[in-house]
Amino acid sequence: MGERVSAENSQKTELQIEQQKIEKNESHVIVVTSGKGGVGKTTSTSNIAVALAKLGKRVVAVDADIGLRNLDVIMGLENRVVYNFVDVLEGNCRLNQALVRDKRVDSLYLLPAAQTRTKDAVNQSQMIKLCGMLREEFDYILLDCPAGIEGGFKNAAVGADEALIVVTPEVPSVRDADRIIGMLESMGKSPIRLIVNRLRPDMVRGGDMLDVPDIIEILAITLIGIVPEDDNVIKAANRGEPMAFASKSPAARAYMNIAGRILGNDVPFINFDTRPRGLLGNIRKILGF
Amino acid sequence: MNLNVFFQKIINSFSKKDPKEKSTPSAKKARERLQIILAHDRTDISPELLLTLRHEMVKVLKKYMEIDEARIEIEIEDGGMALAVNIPVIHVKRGSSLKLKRSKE
Repeated sequence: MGERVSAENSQKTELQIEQQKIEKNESHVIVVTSGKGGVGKTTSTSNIAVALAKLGKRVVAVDADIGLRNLDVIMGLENRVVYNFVDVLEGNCRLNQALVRDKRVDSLYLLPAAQTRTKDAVNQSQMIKLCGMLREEFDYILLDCPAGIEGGFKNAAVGADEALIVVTPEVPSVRDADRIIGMLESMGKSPIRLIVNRLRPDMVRGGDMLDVPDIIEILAITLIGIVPEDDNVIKAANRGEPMAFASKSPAARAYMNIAGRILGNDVPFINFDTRPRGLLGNIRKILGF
Repeated sequence: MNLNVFFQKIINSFSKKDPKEKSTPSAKKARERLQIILAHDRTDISPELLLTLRHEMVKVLKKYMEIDEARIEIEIEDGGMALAVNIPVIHVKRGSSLKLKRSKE
């Protein structure tokens, strides 16, 4: 009984802290991660950052993938990178010298990673310090996390309050996400929310792709967005123009919706027609095979 | 044609077109495989912890009954969601009102 009361109390204080954060307009540090590589962390980070900035927030996208930086290229800002966040931590430059402003939208910045260094160049306390510096300047700090579960991931995650897990509807991706979710939970990150990326409604309809409810059930976390497979993702990457800037493509809309939900808006999920079609399809669905 | 070979061919033709194999959508397969894979992955209790757990459980049980310590089985099932314990009871101590069966579950 005593335990239950204290659990309720702690929940209440958590809620109060959350409300205070919103009232004070406190900053949020969010790590975008997946475990497995190539599932769309960088694409998600760039588009959510652009979308949040379009919604009027002060945003910085941080490339936490030291040695394999790509966020600058995806955002089309690679020519303007002078310093990186390792330079900031080592005192080679000031924070505002390393920040690259994205001129296409108000209040969007990129903090690049060092390309010629390794992941050992920074430690966890330095990352916490960096996040603290960024909290002074921004509403939303998005950390594009390297793949894997080693030092690079831990460095990126340590300074974050919340996490976005990117998963594709494939067995290896879901498995790795489960591993990462366990690690983030033990680090006390909350909320941890799921982005299902590269969903193909036609394949789900045909019974050849894991559906979103299946993935949510298996991973037992909250969904924050479904991004359909979209050729525009590659086109946008080719041009260095994140889709959320202008495109009306399905993936761009999905990222705008995710940004809205991050701000606490009640945005309805896009209804992809994933039900089996026709009489035979319906019978198959009912019979469950 | 040998009759045996003929039958074998018929059996083979059936087994090649195993309807279950062909019509099971791969997503369902993926779901089943993931559930098994994750059940294994999530079993992340160290052997030391399991040993401590065993000692403490035995201590409590010994207050009420005599148990066969050598044959205790402890397993984590369902991806850490179920603890299966099998403890053979030799006899319940006198004065105890507990009734226990020697069953697995």
